[in-house]
Amino acid sequence: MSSKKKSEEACEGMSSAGSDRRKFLAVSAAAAAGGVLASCDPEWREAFFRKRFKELNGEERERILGQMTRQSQRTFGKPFKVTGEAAEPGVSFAYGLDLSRCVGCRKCVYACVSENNQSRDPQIHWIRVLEMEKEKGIDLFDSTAYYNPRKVPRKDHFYMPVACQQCRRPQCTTVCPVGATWKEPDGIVVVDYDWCIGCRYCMVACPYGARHFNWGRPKIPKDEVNRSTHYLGNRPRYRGVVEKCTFCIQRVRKPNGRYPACVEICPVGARKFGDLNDSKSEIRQLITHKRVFILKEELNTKPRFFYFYGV
Amino acid sequence: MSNHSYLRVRARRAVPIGIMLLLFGGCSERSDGAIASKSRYVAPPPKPRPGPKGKGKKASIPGAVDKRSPVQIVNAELAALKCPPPGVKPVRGEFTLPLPPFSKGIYPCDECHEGMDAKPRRKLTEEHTNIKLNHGPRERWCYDCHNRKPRNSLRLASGALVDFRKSYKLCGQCHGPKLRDWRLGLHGKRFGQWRGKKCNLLCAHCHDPHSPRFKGIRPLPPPTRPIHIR
Repeated sequence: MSSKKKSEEACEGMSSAGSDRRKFLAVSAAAAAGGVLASCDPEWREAFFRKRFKELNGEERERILGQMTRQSQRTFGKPFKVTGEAAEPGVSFAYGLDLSRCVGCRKCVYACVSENNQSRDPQIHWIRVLEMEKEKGIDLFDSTAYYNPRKVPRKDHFYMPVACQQCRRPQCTTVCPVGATWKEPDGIVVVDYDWCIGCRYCMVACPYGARHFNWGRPKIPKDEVNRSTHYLGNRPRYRGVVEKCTFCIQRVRKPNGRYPACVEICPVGARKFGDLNDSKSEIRQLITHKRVFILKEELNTKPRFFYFYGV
Repeated sequence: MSNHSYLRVRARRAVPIGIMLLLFGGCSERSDGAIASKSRYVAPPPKPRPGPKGKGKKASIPGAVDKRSPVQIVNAELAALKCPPPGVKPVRGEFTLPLPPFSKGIYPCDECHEGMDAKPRRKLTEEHTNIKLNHGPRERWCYDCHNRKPRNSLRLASGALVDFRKSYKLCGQCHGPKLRDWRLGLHGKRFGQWRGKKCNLLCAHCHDPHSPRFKGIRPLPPPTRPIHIR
């Protein structure tokens, strides 16, 4: 009995000593952090304690977007705009791609690079165009993204561009340890670059290879920077963050939203985009009239990206 | 008797077919003509073909001399997407359509054709010599689609006249399912706003009506392999 009491006392003593140490560490860490933060730029301090973009209220959003706009204007020159349009209720985006039309010219790849301010060096491409043999059908294992003939399409080959599939059950968002990536109400999976810690778990979780990491400081020629940007989309990124296709969120979220850049550049009209809830949109007509398929259906990721054969 | 340019090109292929037809005793007038034109046709010496094995022939390939970066190329193309081009009234009707892809200075047709007699001729020797008709059956010819007088219109099989800016109606006479898909937005290219104003390209913007088969294009450079990214 007494021994038990002793041990309990010892436990109490230990726990009280532990909490003291913890308290001391917490206080001293807070003091140190406070000292560092007090000496630095208030904008930087604000950014350090900023909430995720989806958690900010309207006023905070406006203030942060204003700060970012000013900051980018200093770096890239005027006019520069960082906006943060929210998802429109009742809109559900989806995408279609006609495999019987695609010729593999890679214009979409570079239109995307230009529109979304992707780093030129080290190179980042959000779209990968895979070349496959017609005889083998869709065989990802035997496909290549590095084909370079004089003319495309090559005989007996077809082409399959792959970018983010904007899954309804995205695996990338579930593995993020800091909640820096999430699915928006209109279906677009986005990344908050200010919250991304660069652990690249999402890149491992994504079965489509759609996420890309900024291994170095992104370099973009100053005259090629797209100055119309969105917080969750194509605003200039930092080194050490992950980025991905956002259906050109800076274009499609506008009141008179334009098609994504890849849709507009496609010389053969293989790319279709629209709102699933609008019965007259191309994507809705597509799903009604054509047989569509999704990539890696067995993984149950439920992509919003539909491939089809228009023939 | 026709020594029409497109027939001449096809004549080489037509010989075995012609012989086969003769063997079966059912040679049509048209294939006779093709064979006759072949007999007078002297093939030019074969041109050296630029291929992967050719040495120093790179400059002869169109597109190879383009010094712009791929991003500059696509930016120029995106900037050129205007519907309709500034200063031109849009076509009213079912769809918003850009101008048809006329060669420079070719429209209106009646500027030249007004005073001309519209006699049926198959030779294109002075003007329009760039046209090589290679679209479906050999029996097709200019006035199947072009109206004789006034020349500024196209002509449907029914005899109705159709403006060049609505040429999809003409194409749809034979390519019905494609026209149906095009109306729904499943075939062909659209640009503009995804739910507002959008611009449909005409059939002729992508398919040369005189030779509709897709000609290959030069791909933009492949991505850098991960091992070369520093």
